[in-house]
Amino acid sequence: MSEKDEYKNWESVIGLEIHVQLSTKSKIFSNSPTKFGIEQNSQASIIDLGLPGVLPVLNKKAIEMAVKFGCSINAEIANTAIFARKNYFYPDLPKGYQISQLDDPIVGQGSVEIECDEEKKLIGITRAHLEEDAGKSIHDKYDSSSAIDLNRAGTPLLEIVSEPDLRSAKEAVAYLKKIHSIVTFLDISDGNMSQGSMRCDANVSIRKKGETEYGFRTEIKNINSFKFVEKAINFEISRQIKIKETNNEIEQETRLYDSQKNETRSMRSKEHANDYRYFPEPDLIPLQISNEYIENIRKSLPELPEQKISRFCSEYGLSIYESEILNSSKGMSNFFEKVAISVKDVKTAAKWILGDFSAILNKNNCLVEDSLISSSDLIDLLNCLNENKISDPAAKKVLEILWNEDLKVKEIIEKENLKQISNEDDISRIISEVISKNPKQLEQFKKGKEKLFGFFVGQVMKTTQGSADPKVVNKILKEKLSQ
Amino acid sequence: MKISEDTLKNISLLSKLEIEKTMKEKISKELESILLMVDQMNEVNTDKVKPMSHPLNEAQNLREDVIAEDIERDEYLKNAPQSDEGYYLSPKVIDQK
Repeated sequence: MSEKDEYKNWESVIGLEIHVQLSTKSKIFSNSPTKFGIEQNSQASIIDLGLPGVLPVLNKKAIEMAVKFGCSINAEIANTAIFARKNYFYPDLPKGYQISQLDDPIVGQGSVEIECDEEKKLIGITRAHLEEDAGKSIHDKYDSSSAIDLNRAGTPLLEIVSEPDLRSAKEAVAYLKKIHSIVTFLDISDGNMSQGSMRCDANVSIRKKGETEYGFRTEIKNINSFKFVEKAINFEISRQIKIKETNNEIEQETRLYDSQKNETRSMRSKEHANDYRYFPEPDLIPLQISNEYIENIRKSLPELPEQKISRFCSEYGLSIYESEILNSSKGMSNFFEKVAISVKDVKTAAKWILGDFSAILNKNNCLVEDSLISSSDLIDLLNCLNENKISDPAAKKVLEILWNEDLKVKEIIEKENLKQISNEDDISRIISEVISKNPKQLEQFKKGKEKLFGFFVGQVMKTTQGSADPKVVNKILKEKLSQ
Repeated sequence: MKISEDTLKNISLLSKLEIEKTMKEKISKELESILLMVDQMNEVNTDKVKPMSHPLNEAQNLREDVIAEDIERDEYLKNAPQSDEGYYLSPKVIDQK
């Protein structure tokens, strides 16, 4: 039996636990900063270090962000939320427990809609709760010690737990992207996966098609890119199928994805199975959240990607496809709107942003937020195009130069002599010159060799160094050649 | 409920507390008496009592999201048995093979 046939009999069941670092300025229980990549332990306060006698005090902003998320997935928000201690022993967790939530999480059941292979599907979200992040252990710096950096300890996390509603690695990626776009549009996280602002664990099991019971699942830990989510899950699905097809049983365990080898492997030995001994956090009184507070947040939610997509279609006359890509990230969406409100032809603006502008970003492996071409530069350029001051090819050239040099659009047009000639008299004069210089071609053209029209256009463009407005050239050339 | 040898071992492991051989029986007895007390509490009918997670009937005080720059790393590092270059050092722990 080929691998594909084997796959046909099985269905995969996937649920994701996504950890989102909330972009508060200070930590969830202390007032130390939450910056990324700063000197080791320089933002670990006595509270983050868990020194004796310190007490956690909850950050208002973290609550607000969690409630925002809850409202945007239509979840019930708890009026009373409770924090709990999750006990485990690891050096990057200085207190010996993580303050998390078990019963009564801040965000209850909700859902999001994903689209995968042009099918829409509702994915249930079981819950989302607040907790603190751990520090980092570095194992390869010293021979006999692990180095501990507690800068990250206490950074607020929102853990979003999905129902086991996902049926393929592709759906899991679509779901992860959806959550990513929600948290970034809400501005509650920077969503930077490579810096660990968003991490994900995947629970994967398989079952024979048609079965309703779930199989034993494995949990793949700490996957930190969209690409790896897909790869890790696909690896795990085929690993499980192979086990089942040879009549063996799947072990319920935690596995680690190794992106270099593209495989998952068992992570924790069974004899020390985790026993978290959760209990309500005695240092934190239950959190009361009033309905009025929740409603105020609900009313002030920013526009989410779905709403933006439909608005871009109706307001700017863009296609769904264009609107979707423009709203694939908050940065792009904001950039586009900045441009859109200042240009006459929004559709052309969309075309340029999605086309040549995006191409330059991709080529330089750059996010729109870090673009070397500002929105005002692009607006200038699009307005020059719109007023026929430059041609399309010239605009492309300007775009390239805008990226590489610190010049304004008008300066580039001057410097590179890219101003488009659209004055009919000027073009007419140039065409007459070109025709008189090429009597042979003219004769052949008149005899019926119509392909030579292109030759004349080319000669005009050459003479004007590409700066003649092609529309005007075509029009006048046609008139002159038919005389 | 009786605290078995295995349970005691597990508790010791989880709490990272070494229990000396001579103390084992005494500690088992003490733990058993705690469980006995819990059993006693369990006898109370609490069907109509709302569970509480904290004895203080107060709302939580929240903090504004403001940072303070009062971290004295080098002072804190002195509390650690071992540190280097601003890192805390621990015995080598690797979760994966």
